[in-house]
Amino acid sequence: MKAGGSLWESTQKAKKKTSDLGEIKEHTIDSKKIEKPPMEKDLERTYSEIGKTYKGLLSEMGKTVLGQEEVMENILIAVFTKSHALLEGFPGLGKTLIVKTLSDIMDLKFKRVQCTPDLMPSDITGTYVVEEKEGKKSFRFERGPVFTNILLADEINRATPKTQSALLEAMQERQVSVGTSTYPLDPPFFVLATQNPIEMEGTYPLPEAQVDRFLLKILVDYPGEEHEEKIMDLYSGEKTPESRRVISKNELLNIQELIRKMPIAAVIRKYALNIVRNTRPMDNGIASEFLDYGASPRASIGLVVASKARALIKGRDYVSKEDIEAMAYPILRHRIILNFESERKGVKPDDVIEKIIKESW
Amino acid sequence: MKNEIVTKITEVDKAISNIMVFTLLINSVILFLLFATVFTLLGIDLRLVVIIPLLYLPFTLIWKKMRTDTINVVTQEYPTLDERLQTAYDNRDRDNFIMRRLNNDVSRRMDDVCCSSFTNTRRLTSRTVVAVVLAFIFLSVNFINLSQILPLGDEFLGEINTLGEGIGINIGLSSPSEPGAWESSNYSNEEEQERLGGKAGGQQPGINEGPTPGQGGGTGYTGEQDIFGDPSSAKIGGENVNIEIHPEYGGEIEIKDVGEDSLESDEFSLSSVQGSKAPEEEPLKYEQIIKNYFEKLIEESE
Repeated sequence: MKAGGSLWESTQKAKKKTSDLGEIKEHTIDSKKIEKPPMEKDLERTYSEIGKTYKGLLSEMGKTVLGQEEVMENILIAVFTKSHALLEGFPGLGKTLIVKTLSDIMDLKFKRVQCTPDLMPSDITGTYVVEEKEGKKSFRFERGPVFTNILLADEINRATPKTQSALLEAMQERQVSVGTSTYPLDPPFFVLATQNPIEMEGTYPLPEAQVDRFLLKILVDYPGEEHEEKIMDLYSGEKTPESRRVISKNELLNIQELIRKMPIAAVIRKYALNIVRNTRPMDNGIASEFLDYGASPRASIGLVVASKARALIKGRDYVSKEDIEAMAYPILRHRIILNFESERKGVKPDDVIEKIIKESW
Repeated sequence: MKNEIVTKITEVDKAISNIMVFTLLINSVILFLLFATVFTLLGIDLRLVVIIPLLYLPFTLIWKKMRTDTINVVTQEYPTLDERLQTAYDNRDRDNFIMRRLNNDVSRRMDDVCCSSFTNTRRLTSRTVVAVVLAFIFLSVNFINLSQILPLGDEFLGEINTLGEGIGINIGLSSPSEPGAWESSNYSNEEEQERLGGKAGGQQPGINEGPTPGQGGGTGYTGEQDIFGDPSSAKIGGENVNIEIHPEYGGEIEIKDVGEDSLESDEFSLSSVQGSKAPEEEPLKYEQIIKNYFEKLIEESE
């Protein structure tokens, strides 16, 4: 008893000491913030309504974003799989608008960071500020824009590597460490970053390790003529379109939970694995001809999860070969590195992926 | 509780196995008949043929069974079931509402699966026809004198017969120029042929010869038939006697052995033989031969 008591006392003393010093602040997780696992009934209800929900989301997004159905689908897949997406496209194609609309229809907190070379990590994560209360000064953590549900990192390749890496922990661990304290991020959390494929001068291309953390790389292309005409009418009139909320935060969490429950056939899983493995230039396949480096096991996991999400939103109870093939492009295009010869010939990653898909079945 | 999908797959698997066994049995029959025909023509022992289907059937069955994926077979025939069935079967141990819904869907679709759709009717029919044709060929080779059907030369048939004799099997091919060759080949030697009346007795020597004639006696084939059958000639004392005994007379000729008082028949005596010609018309040289024979018998008995 004596020994146990002395240990407890010494622990308390140590805690008091550190508290008094004000150097180390231990972040305690509020029990109210811990999300309870959704009930089976709720999940079942969400599952039975998923088709309707998805149509509603697309329809509501379509009010403000026109001619980008595939982009919207891929962004929703990234959101449903608790992952991050990198949007690449020329300026003025509506990348930011898509993300903003998404936050509106999902009733989620949305923050935007415009990345520039002088952006500091603390501008994203937050910092300690000195606060005076009742004549006593103390440090208070001022949360940065990363504490949100959807973070839009606009033109991420313009930020310095130091700032880019500040996002790494947030994206992967869903927590922020400042000084000696760690702050968890509220779920759902996902980063939607955009980058511009032109004007590469003065930019810092994302390192491979960071690019790999984005589940999907979504290419935003010019809309068709018909859609562009509608966009002109829509945004040149008196009234700008507004989106209403379609799903709640809880429903979104339920959908994220459902994805994990989706079954997949062994042969389809093997197909996904073959595709990813065939990107590695180890033998005399397509990869050795066109690529220097292939995709990591993270890509294998991502391909299966994204395919599950696609199957779910398409209203299927199973993952199809078609899902794997459709998701292979956004999953792999930023994870494979073309060799010099391919770049010289102007080969695009999507061309190589197409060949690999054909080779893998 | 056993998964409903697994139960249905097991049922389909059984049906596919039965179809497989049936197909392999037909294949075995075809193999048997094919090799039996070839072996017969080459004069090889037919017992060896049995080994081929006996080896083919179990090995092919095991090999095919190992290679056959029931799910694949079903999904090839029913493409709408393809990924659903694969997924439901692969995740049969999982239980959640998505799986339950998938299982119900697959189970409902599996009800439309007909076992007959796994049978390749065209292939089965063609194989059955092949088996029947081969059976006819095999029977023909064994029971029909091919020389009468096929325009085969004497030399060729002779060669095949020689091959057959070399391994102790009669192939049965004969040339029209050798009418007695077939009959002769049924006897191991001349003595047997003589004893069974192949030469000296019966109506159709070598085929349906009558009761074995007595020692030194018997009737030979004359090649002249009338409504009563073949007339026969007697052989007495090593010489052919040109006498004709017609079946209408009935009975049998009894020739008593040496030492007995007389040689007589219950029905008739040699002296009372009635032929187509009157006794006085018989050639004198035969009378002399008969007389000499009986005199010799009397002398020996004394």
